[in-house]
Order: sequence, then structure tokens, then C-alpha cells
Amino acid sequence: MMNVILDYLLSLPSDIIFADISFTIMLIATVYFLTKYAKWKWLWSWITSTDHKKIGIMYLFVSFLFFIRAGIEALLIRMQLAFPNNEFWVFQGERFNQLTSTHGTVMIFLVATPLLIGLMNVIVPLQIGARDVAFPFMNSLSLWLFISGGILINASFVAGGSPNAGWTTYAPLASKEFTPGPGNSYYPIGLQVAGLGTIMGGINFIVTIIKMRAPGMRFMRMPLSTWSMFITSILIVYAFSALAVALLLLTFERLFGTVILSASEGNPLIWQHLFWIFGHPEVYIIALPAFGIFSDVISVFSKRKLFGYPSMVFAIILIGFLGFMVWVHHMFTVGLNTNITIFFALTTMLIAVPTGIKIFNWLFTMRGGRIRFDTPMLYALGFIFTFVIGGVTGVMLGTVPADYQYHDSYFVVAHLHYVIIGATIFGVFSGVYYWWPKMFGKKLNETLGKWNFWTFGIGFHITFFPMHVMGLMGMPRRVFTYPEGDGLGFLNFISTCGAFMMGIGVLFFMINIYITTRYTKKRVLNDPWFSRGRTLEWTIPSPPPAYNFARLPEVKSREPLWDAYERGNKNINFIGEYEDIHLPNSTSLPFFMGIGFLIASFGFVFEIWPVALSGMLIVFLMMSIRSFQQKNGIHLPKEKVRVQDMRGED
Amino acid sequence: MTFRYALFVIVIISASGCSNIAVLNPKGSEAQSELNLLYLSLALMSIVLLVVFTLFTRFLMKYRELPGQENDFPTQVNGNKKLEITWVVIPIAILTILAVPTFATTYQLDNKTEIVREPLEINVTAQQYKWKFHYPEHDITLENEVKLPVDRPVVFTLHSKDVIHSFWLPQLGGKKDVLPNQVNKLTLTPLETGVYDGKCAELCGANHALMTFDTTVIEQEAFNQWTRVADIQED
Repeated sequence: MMNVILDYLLSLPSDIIFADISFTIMLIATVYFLTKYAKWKWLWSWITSTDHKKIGIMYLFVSFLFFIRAGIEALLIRMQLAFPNNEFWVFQGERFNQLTSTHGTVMIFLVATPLLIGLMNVIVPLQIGARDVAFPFMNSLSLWLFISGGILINASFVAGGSPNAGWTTYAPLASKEFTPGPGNSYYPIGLQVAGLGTIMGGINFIVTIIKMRAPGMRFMRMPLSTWSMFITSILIVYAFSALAVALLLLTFERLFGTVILSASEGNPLIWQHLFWIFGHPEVYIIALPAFGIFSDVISVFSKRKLFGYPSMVFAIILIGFLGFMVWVHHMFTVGLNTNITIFFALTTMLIAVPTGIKIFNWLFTMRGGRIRFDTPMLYALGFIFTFVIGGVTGVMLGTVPADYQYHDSYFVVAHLHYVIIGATIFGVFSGVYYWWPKMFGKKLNETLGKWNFWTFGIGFHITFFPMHVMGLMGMPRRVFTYPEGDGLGFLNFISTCGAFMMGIGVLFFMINIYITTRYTKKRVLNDPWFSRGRTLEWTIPSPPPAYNFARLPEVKSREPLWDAYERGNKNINFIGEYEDIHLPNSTSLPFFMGIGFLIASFGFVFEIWPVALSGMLIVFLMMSIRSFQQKNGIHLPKEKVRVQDMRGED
Repeated sequence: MTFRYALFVIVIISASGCSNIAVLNPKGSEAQSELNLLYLSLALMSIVLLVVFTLFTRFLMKYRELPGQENDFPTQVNGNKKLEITWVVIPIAILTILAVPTFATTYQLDNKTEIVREPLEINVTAQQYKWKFHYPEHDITLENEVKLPVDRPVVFTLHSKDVIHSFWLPQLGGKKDVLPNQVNKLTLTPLETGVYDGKCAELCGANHALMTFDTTVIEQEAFNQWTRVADIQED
């Protein structure tokens, strides 16, 4: 028996053995440390938590793990491409396609989106003066569906092969005829599970923002972060529904042999349309919250009111709306009717207008202010610099005939990384540095933060700027090799160096977290940013109590805290008496539903129906338990709230 | 310092040869009109970049918080209607300047197939990792290479046998997808003789990177000669 297992293991390619070994070591280490420091109970309290702040932190943590994994994939890709005709390890042909496909899929679906949802979870209730989200149970379920879909896509590498038809997974390459292995089944099934969670999250935040704002927090008084996350939630509900349909079609195509996306009886372009009807709004789903974060950060660190607040809100809404009308610009070379192409080129160019409004409003927010260069602000400034370049190449891509040249070349790779890293990843870094004190009560180390920003930022430009030129040299995207003598080798080598520099930047970030958590003793006050915060989250202790607001805040303007400071007060006024506070029960059901979905998904991927069925049974069992449960939450007595609140004010 | 470094990099890149940069060195009329749009959009966008970066650097230098200002409350403004209207109107103007030639060229390029006179017809069949070129007029078939006469429009009729590919000859013109369920046409007009790289631009499987072809553009006379010889050899 041992011999059989050993033989099987030795028959695996070296990269999978390596992945298996490192995974086993990490698992053992985690179990060891959890046991050694007796943290299992602590872990369980997090897993079963329905507190939006804890769920947000878990979202951030898990997506950061995925970020590291997909980042390592990026480094492997860059190593294979460092030299012409290179043969690095096993990453040629098939394996290279697996690398690029999972890098893209993980980064978009399991890093960019959930990182922002994590920040949304932490911030939105605090900014609107609410005690939790509208549906705490559903919130936890969203998290566990995301984790379970994420595990599925991440495990594919060692269990049967990863998706290998690109992150866009175009049919008919993704159909069983051309990629028979389980790899491309992981993609639709894993994303379906994660996507369900995302849709629930979207609904949750729409309801939260509409129904749970504090007294006086009118729509036109909401901070820009909340506004952008509100619009994003609406986009999520519409866009991810389109994705769900597309994924369902692909799943049916692969598992049950339908022919809707096939070339012979069906039409593979159906997939492209559905995918991009989701895919382009997705760009704004991950960009808009970042815009919101930057609006808050730039305003706080310039000590100026946001310039042109109404036009900023209007621009977000317009971008969200137009975002649904530009999807065909991903398909200009497909051979559609010219009139259609022209229409979508026009809408694509139009979207530059609201984006321009935002850029200039940010610039003029800084004018006349007192600009400070703390790490959140550095990331915001880096964003303006980077995103303008990305936006400009976006307009260039919108000029159809020129796009015939750029399309599917490294020019597009450069553009999309300028936009997504420039907005989303910079935005998340900025937001994490900005709200870290609120989440954990300690400020991240500024020196390391600056090292983190400069290495990551400069590395980013060294990596991706040359890619514009590579694209114009005629290098198509998703190629694992290129011939010598085109001058491509030099640029690719520079790009690879830059990628490693970005990696060092991320290491600085991790070191920063470790050092801050381990060695910083100083706990921060309500408002750690030189007492010039503007919005509600800085009026409560850091980290906030489970119920956030002991008494409800009184909102009379857009920036209540700043106004209080200007009047010489230390904090805003809270209204009303202390009252018993209702808190949701913690629950393990979402966790087990996630496990149910995970088992079912493995069953579907490998088409072992009993496994799929038993997984779904677990899910339905949990749902029925939930239906008959009589847990209506717990009430925190007002006396306790009052005592805690008084202690917080010292 | 940074500026000098940037300048150095730009010089190195341009010295290492714009001639290497296929798209900037077109050898066909379609590639030329696409390049013109690239330059137009780049020029317009440079204006945008210049304005933004100037304001950006100026504001950052001028409005830094100086020591001693930490506890200030700078005056707060809500906005400025005139300024905000300016940065709606000017971008729209810039986009209009860009949009008109864009749309004109798009119609021109997309409809070229119907307009060109006496084009050379070539049927292109893409199949995982190889290109087949069939000249119906001469009944010649080539694999992974294609010969074209200079100064004569060529209409490529594109079709795929399996998955989606994309036909790209950067120096002669932009790409067109090769679909299994639909026939696409692409017109290219080579203006100079030479050998140009052709490639597949849409991920089509394991050896997508190796799915390339050589394009040789030769004088019309030489081309006619070649068709006669090749036709005889094939029989």
C-alpha cells in the first residue's frame, strides 16, 4: 500500500510535488501553533462570528493569502518569460496556460473583489453609523461561500489540473472537446459558488445602506467610500447575475453535453457576450470602491473638504451606469457589425469624462490644503499618477482601428494592470493602512509603510511600463515563449526584475504587519490621524466594540467629526439614552454550508454524483436547520454598554 | 535626477530601435492608417497627461504641510462650478477630435473587403497550432507561410477548424478573430517587400505561442512566376 502511494507521488511533476510538500508543511505548522497556543477556541469564535468587522477582517486575510499565491504565480510567469526561448522548470505550454489562467482568475475573483468586500464590511456600517449589516447571517454565508469557491480553484492545481483557457475561459476551448481534464470544470463551478456569495454580499450592502443609516445621515451626506460601495453593490447584483448564467451554461456544456456554446450547433460568442456583460462592470466593481477610499484619504490627508462632492457622486453613478454599456470593446476583433462596434467605441470614450471629473476633483481637493505624506496618502498619490496613465491607454484602446493592433497583445496586459493594480490594489493598500488602526487599535509602522509603497510602486512601473512597448512589438498575450532577436528579450528581462521588486514590496508589508502586531505597544485613540478625521468611523474607539456605537451619532453635515473639531470639540454629539443593544447570534451554519458546497463542488467537478449529492444534502440540511432555529440574537444590557462607553472616553 | 533617468531610458528604448517595434513600423496601408490613429490618440492623451501631471506636481509642492502647520484648519471650499464645467467640456472636445477620425477609419477598414478591386483571394484555415493558406485562383496550398505580391490588396477569408484563433500580421495590419462558427474577412495591402511575422493572438491551447507563420511579400512579377511554378509542382 505504501509503495503504491509512493509510486503515485513520484509520478507527479516536480512542481506539484513541491506544492504538495509546501501545503503539508503549512498545514502542520498551522495546526501545531494553534494547539501550542491553545487558539482553537479563538479560531472557532472567528469562524462562527457574525460581527461585520470580524467578517471583513477574515475577508481581507483570506484574500491576502490568495494574493500571495497568485503573486507567486506571477513571478513564475515572469521567470519563464525572462529570456527568449526560455525553459524555466515545467512552465511551458500547458502548464504555462494553467499559470496565467489561475493567476488571472484568482487575482480578479478571489483577490481584488473580496479584498474590497472585506473593506466594505469593516467600513460601511461604521461610516453610516450602524451597529451591523442588515443580514449578519447572510454576511457570514457570503464569506464562507467565497472561501469555499476559493479553495476549490486553488486546490485545482494539485487535484487534477488548473483551468487553462485563460481567466476569460473562452468557449469552445473551454469545452470538453478541447480541454477534457477537470481543470476547466473547476472554473465555472468554483466561481459559481464564490459568485453566489458575492451576490448575497451585494444585496446585503444595498439594504444596509438604504435602511440602516444613522439619524440625519442623508444620502448626500454619506462619505464617498460608502457611496462608491453602494453603487458597487448594485453593480454586483446585476453583473454577477450575468456571470452566474454564463457559468451555468459552461457547467452544463461540460457536465451534461449541451451544445449552446459549441461551434457546430451553438455559438461560442454567446459566452463572450455574457462574460463581458459581467466582465466590464466587474472592472468598475473593483475600481469604484477604490475611488471612494481615495476620496476619503485624499480629503483627510490634505485636510480639505472633498472638492465637488455632488459631481463626485454623480460621476460614480454615471461610471456605474456606462460600465454596463461598453462590454463589446473587449470584442472589437470578433467581426461584429461596424455600427455596433462604433456604438460601443463611443460609450467607451464617454466613460473617460466622469473619470476625468474625478481625477480633477481629487487634484483640486489637494489645492489649498495641508498635504501630509503618510502611507495611505502615498498610495492615493501613487494611484493618481498610475491611474491616469492607465486611463489614457484605455482611451487609446477605445479607438477601434488602433485596437485591432493592441487587442490581445501585451499592450492590453499593461493597460489592465495599470488600471487594476493602480486603482484596486493601491486602493486596498491605502485603505488598509488608513483603517488598520480602526480594525486593530494599532497604527502600522510608517517607515516600513514607506518602504512598502516605494518598492511596490516603482517595481510596478518597471514591470508593466515596458509591456506597452512589447505589445507594440507584436508580442501577443498568454504566450509562454518568444523568439530571440526581436528586442523583446531586453524588455522582458526588465519586466521580470520589476516583478521581483513588487514581491519585495509585498514582503515589506508582511514584515510591517508582523512587527506592528508583535512589538507596537501603543494603542491608538478614536481618531489616530492627527485628530483631523472627518467621518463617523473615527468617532468611536479603535477597535470599536461589537455594537460599534454605544449611542447613535448625530449627523448634521457631510463631515460631522471635522465640523466638531473646527468648533473646538473633541468629538461629535451622540443622541439619545443608552439602551439595550441587540446583537446577532454567532452561528456555525454558514461554515458548514460552505463545507457542503465544497464537497458538492468536488463531486460535480469529477462527476461523482453520490459525492455531489451528499454535499448538496449537507447544504439543504443546514438551510432547514436555519429555518426552524429560534435564535433571535442576544441583548446587551444598557448598564454594561454605558460602563464600557465611559471607559472608552478616558 | 529622476527626469534624467527617464530621459536615458527613453533614449535607450528608441535607440534600440523603433524599427523593432512592429506596430510603429508599418509596411501595409491598413497598418499605416491604424498607426496614424495611434499617433493622434497618443498626442491628444499627452495633453491630458501633461495637464494632470503639471497640476499634480505643482499642488504637491505648493501645499505640503510645513512644520508648524500641524494644528491648522485650512479653509474649506465645496467646489467651483466654473472649474467643474471646464473639465467636463474640454475632455468632451478632445474626445470628439479623436472620435471622428476613429469612426471614419473604422468604417473604411471594416468595409474594405467590398471596395477593393481585383484583390488576391486567400482562404485561411486555422487549426490548433498551424495555419493553412489556400490560393483558390491558383489552387496552391501553403502551411505556416504565405507569399503575397506587393501593392495588391489581399482578402483573407478566415475560418477555424476547432477553437477560436486570431490572425495577426502586426506590420501589415491589425488582427481579426478566426472563428469556427463564422467566416471573417480581413483586407491587407502590403506596400513593401520583405518578410514579416504573423501570429495567433487568441489563446488557443498548449502551443498557442508556437502558432506563427512567415509572410513573404515579393514583387508582383516574382509572385506571378512563383504561382506558375508552384502550381505545376503541386500537380
